[in-house]
Amino acid sequence: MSAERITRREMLKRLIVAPVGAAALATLPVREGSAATMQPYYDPYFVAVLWEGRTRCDSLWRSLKGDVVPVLPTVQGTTPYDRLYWTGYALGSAPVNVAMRVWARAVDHNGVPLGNGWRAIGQATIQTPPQRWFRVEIPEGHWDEYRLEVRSATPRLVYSRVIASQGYWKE
Amino acid sequence: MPPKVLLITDTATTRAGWVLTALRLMGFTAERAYTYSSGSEIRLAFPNAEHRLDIDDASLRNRLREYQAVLIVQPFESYSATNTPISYTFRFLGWNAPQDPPFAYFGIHFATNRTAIAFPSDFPLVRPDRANLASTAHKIGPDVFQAQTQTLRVRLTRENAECYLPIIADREPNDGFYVWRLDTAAHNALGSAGEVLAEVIGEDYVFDTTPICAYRYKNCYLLPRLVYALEAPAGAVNILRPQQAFWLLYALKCIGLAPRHALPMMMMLDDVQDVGVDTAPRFTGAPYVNDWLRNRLMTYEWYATEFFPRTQVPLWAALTTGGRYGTDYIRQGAWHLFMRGRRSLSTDYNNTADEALDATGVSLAQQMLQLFQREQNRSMRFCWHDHRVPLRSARNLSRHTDAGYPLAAPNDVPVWQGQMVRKGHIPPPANAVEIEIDGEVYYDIAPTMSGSGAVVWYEPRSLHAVRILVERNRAEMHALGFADGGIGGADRFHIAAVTHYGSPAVMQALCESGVRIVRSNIPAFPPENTQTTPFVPIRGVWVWGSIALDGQADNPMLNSYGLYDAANPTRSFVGSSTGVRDSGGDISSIWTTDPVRARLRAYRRLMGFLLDGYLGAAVYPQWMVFSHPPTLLGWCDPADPLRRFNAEDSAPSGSPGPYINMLLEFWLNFEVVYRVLSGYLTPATGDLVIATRERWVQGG
Amino acid sequence: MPVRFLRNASELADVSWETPLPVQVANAKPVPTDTLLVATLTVDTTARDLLGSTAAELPTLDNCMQYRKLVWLAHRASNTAINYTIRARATDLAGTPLGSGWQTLASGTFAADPANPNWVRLDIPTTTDGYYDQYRIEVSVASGTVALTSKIVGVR
Repeated sequence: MSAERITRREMLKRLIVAPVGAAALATLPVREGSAATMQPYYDPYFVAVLWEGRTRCDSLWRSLKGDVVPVLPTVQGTTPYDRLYWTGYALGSAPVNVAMRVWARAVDHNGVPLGNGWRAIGQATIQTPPQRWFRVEIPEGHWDEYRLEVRSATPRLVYSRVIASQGYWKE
Repeated sequence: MPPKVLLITDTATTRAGWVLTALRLMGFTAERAYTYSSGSEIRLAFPNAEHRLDIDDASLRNRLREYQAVLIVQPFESYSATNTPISYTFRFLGWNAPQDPPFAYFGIHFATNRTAIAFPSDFPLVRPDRANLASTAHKIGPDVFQAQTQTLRVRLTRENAECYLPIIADREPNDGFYVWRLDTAAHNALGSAGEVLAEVIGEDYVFDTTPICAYRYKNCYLLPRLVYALEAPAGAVNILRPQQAFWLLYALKCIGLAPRHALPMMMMLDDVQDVGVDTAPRFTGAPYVNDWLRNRLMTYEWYATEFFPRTQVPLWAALTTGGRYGTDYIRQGAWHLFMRGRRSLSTDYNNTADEALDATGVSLAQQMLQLFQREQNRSMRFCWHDHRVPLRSARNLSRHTDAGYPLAAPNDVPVWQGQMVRKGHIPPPANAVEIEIDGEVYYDIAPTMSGSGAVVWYEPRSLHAVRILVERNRAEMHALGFADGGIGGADRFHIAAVTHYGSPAVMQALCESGVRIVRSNIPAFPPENTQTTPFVPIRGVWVWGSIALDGQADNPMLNSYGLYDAANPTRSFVGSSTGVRDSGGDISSIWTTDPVRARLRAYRRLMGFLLDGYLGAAVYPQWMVFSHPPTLLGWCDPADPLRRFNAEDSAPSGSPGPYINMLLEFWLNFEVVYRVLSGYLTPATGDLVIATRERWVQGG
Repeated sequence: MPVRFLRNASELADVSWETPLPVQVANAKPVPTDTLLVATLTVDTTARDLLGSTAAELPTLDNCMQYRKLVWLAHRASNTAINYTIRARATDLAGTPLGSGWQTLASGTFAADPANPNWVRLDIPTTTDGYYDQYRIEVSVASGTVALTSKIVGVR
């Protein structure tokens, strides 16, 4: 990739449309291919990084933040966003085989969940060569809080970001 | 950094929306945690962590030290609940280091059947024993889960003030409600580490020792419950009105947490001039027309000269309009009473039966009007309140004819819109007027015009017609002597007759007249084919719902017959809601045989009904509460309308019960509570009321 | 005259798509969503709207014209199938419906689902854009009752 000067905002937009290793939520159609055909209709106009960091994956389902407490969200205040993305790469040299799943829920005016439990949004398995970026789209937006969990039979360190966008569909 | 308060509830679905909302409105940062059992563990789930409650967990204790106060609530438990997860919070009774926060328990019972946590050996309240509640607790009322039923006279020891307060605390199913006994020796041994906060004064109930309903043990406060709607999320619009909000505010005061914002408070009366339409006194010598006029006048004068100077709490009131113009003007209402010297004899707005006041009556009515004119923008604020053409109606509207107004008869003005096209999208058409709607300008092409006639057709779907209605009412208020046209002076509100809403066009017309606050209905009435919401202003106007706190259940234009009237129960307070106010006939069955006790019981429930209603609306400001004067002022002593209620008064022959000025009694009780809660409540202004609503909706 | 700026401290560059002005947009925020309703309803066998009304002409939400869609997020107390009907209509400039009745946008069921026993969600409308003025959202169950706590968010 040639060096160029771009704004951070532009960089984030490009992350959304960049080519990735194959990864898709099990309940949704897979998106493959190059940047030109990856997102033919969805045009993001506002993008934010909700969380960025390292997660040590092991055999337990852990939030990206590392906890195993099912009631705790990973990201909050996500109501305005119509899609989320989880993008990152696994460190180390072994092939990657990380399972992930996404939960969501709504809260009232004081941030208290409308009920207990979560809605299951979907799950995916990341199987890429090491040090290769992956991206998982979470197209069900507008929930107030999400919990993203990961698990790996072989302990791995995963560096990732949760990005959220507002956009519109272009015909 | 705003003070941080933690609210612990008994389960995930006890969201305690109104409590968190009240805390947030006052400027506290409030979080909720809840208890639950997981296998053999009892856990406390915070928004971002979990801790165990079934062991002495140092990490939990450290976590709690982040908060300036920890409040613990549960919605419905009774003595039959034993070692539920919430009962494990009694562990905090032993966390009394200086770094530990204050803990406030709202009606978490500590009966002997709760064995999960060992209580401190010096705990100074007798633990109720279900096998012997008579000796280990104090029963205060029947098994009716309502604040007004369980209102008793209470002495608040810190303030050395006595007032009537609802004190629902412990419940024994199918039996009744209980408060606590003091272990006097243990209490004395505690010294300053123990403090009685509130004692119950027995009036109709006789207690063998002084019951305690609020107590401080070291840094732990034991208080009556917060009642109702605790499962509802914050922002919910179809909930039961919260009850016993007094104890939430009082707990914060005892703990010493001052709010950043106080909650606005006003008194409110609809049809404030209404003397009633009864055609005969209840009995010979009972209050009748001039007595009603006099008791309204003197009570409102008392408000202006005594209550308001002491509290600064304003009276927001609706003056009944629609009584001046046309041939079908209502006989009820301010114009007919003040300007024609006549009063209506019917509860039907279409009925023209009326009678002239005598010379004394006319004079009293004039004095009332002059009082209102003087007090507008001082202790009172008045708005128009059209009962001839309520906002949702579809009917003839008689235009006014006063000079100097653009929409008056005989001016030829638009009444009904024609074709509407947004300006800029077509060339300017002939035969069109420009009309601004919701910030956009439209061409109104060939609107239906009024001609010179006085009568036009009103429907809320026509912005033109609504503007005519608004102007007519403003003209009526101007003629009555209110320079602002009846929009509540500087506070800019409207109280809708019959709690109608009408349409967004009605809101726009009100906004154009200066109104920013409308008390209507949330949700709207079904036939209005529109919907109100508290979350966003509708064309510049914020909307509130309405809750009536009337002293009798019959038509609100009929004067009350006092606390109880066996022959006309729904014309009296107790007979208007027997399940709540006369449970098991505990008043009606002794009304004649044990009259003093019965009257005291009825009186205290009346105090609870009114006080708790106002406080509930203040902490969760989706509604405003109000009353109709005849239902509370109908039974004042003709010889001395401001005389204090005395349960031992003899009732005149033929009278169902002693006289009582219910509004005066309520306002006097309220004044004590208002002083106790000063800092948490503040006199309402229109700006403060809107600012509180804006803070409420910011969360979402 | 094109707008120019100093790049790399020494060269002049024209402002263009490839060389935008080196400014950072500060305090940019997402377009806000509005919470329009929070309500708990005991859903029973009678079709009623989220505020409990059975009056067919009464909307659940009004003044919704600015929203591209509504998102209905809800929690049901038990894994019970809940039938829903979503209706919508436009109003005139006074806020009065153009006529009686409604356009039915969707009719369906939140089926009992062991994978998602409690949380349900529906975008209104599901595919196209909204911009209706009024919506009426009705729910019912086949038998018994279930408590449904709903939140509706308006998305621009």
